Amino acid sequence: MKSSDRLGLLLALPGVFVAFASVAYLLFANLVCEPLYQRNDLLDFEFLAKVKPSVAAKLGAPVSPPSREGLAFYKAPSLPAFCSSPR
Amino acid sequence: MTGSALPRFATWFVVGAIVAVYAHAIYYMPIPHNDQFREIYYTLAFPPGKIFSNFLEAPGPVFRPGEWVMRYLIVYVFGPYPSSYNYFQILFVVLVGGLALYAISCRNWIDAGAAITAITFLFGHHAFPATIEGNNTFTNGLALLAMMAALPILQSKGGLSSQLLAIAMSVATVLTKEVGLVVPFTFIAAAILGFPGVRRWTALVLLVLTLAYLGFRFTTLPALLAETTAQGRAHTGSAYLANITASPIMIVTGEPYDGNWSEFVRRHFYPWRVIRIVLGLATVAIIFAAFCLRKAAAEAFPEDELVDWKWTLLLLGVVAASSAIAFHYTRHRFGGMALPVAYLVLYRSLRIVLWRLSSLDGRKWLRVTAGSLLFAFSLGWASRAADVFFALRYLGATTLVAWVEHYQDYRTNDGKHPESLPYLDSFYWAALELPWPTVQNDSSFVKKWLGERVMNR
Repeated sequence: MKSSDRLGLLLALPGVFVAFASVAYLLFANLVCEPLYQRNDLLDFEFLAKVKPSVAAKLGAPVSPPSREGLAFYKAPSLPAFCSSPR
Repeated sequence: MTGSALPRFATWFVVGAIVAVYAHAIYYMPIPHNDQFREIYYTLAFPPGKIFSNFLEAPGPVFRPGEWVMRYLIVYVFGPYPSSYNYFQILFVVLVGGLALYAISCRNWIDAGAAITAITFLFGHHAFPATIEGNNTFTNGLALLAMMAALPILQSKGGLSSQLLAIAMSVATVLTKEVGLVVPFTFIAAAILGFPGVRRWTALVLLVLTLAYLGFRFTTLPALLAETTAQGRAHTGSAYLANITASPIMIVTGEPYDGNWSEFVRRHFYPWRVIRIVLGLATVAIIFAAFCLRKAAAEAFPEDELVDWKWTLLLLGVVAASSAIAFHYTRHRFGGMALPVAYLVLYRSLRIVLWRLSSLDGRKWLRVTAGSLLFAFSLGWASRAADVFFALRYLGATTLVAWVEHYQDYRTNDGKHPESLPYLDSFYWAALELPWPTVQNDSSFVKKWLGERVMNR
């Protein structure tokens, strides 16, 4: 390998590393479980108080969600398999 | 795999991986209420004819018919669901990635090293996620996309189809958002600077169209200035000047945040903030070095691959034009229009600097030092590109909490239009059913690295 190619490869390495890490994460997230997301429990007040204490303190009590009847446009999102749990 | 195929594959792989991981984060981002619920509701509830007739009868302080066309297209193409906006933004990232690859050539590892670093600059620069941060800023994304598409036109032979495309793109982006003015400006400036891809008659047509638009806007501008009393908007000549002068510094370093210099010392110097400033200044230094090397580099590179006066002035012009448009208020996203030209110039600059370093005979210490600095530069931009994924994830978390926190306020405000409430509830459930980004589980290292208000990066 020529010295110019060695320099170019050196410059390419960080980006290639990030790309490998991204692909590894995406494969893991889609084939095994989703490590960076979990089921959404924001309507559970204890969970909200844990992840966003300032908002829970402001609300003071669990919010009453709107009805799900007669939604004008709606499609249930497809959710991944989760492997994280709240701490 | 041949020697030249491997560098090309590595470059494609990096673009594909960045696009895929950003798309993954965008897919799980809820639509925020502010600035756009009303617009999205109108596009879902009313036919285009009614919206456009209302729009023309009583034009508001901003004139953006193209934005309405885009909103209708999003619904028609991807379906009448909140997720349609996510699909649209994923399409935007894919197109930017494709055009980024189209703009460069990759024959050896010098090309690949330069291309991969420039690509992480493009996706990791603070202006890029700012075009995604609330989906009302997708119009800034459109201007960025048009500027990416302008790159091959500038370097073309100036055929009729490329001229018509330049005019069509300019009209579409200007009618979508005021920042789109940078697109015709770029073509006109390119014709003046002698780029082969833009004919004089094209520049003349664009100049006439731009002047006509500016004439129309200046007659309606008083309404804009009288109406917007929001905090953070400039209202005096000195405040306009402060925004215009802060913007180019913000495009390079990300500071001062929102053009506000007092924020510079008030905010924590998290590692990402220091890295952002250093990387911005280093990018300018590398481009300057390539410009200084243009005569020596002419021995090894064709004339149309150098960083000459033409490209340097075009880059400065695009930055200046983006800054001028930010006179009323300035944000990171105003740098988005300058990113494509900066991306291509950085790619060319890195190739030239690498070539020069490899041709230094007998000065190993210089090669090792400069090579190490360039490796740190590339590592820095790669880390910034990775940061954007986390930033988009945090943005999703913030928006999800905002729906719970402010839903009653939204309902009270939108109660004036009771027919819109079923749409509001649809947005609410569409958001609350998305998965929760486990930001509370992030290690203290990630929190220290990214800071508390990640989107303010």
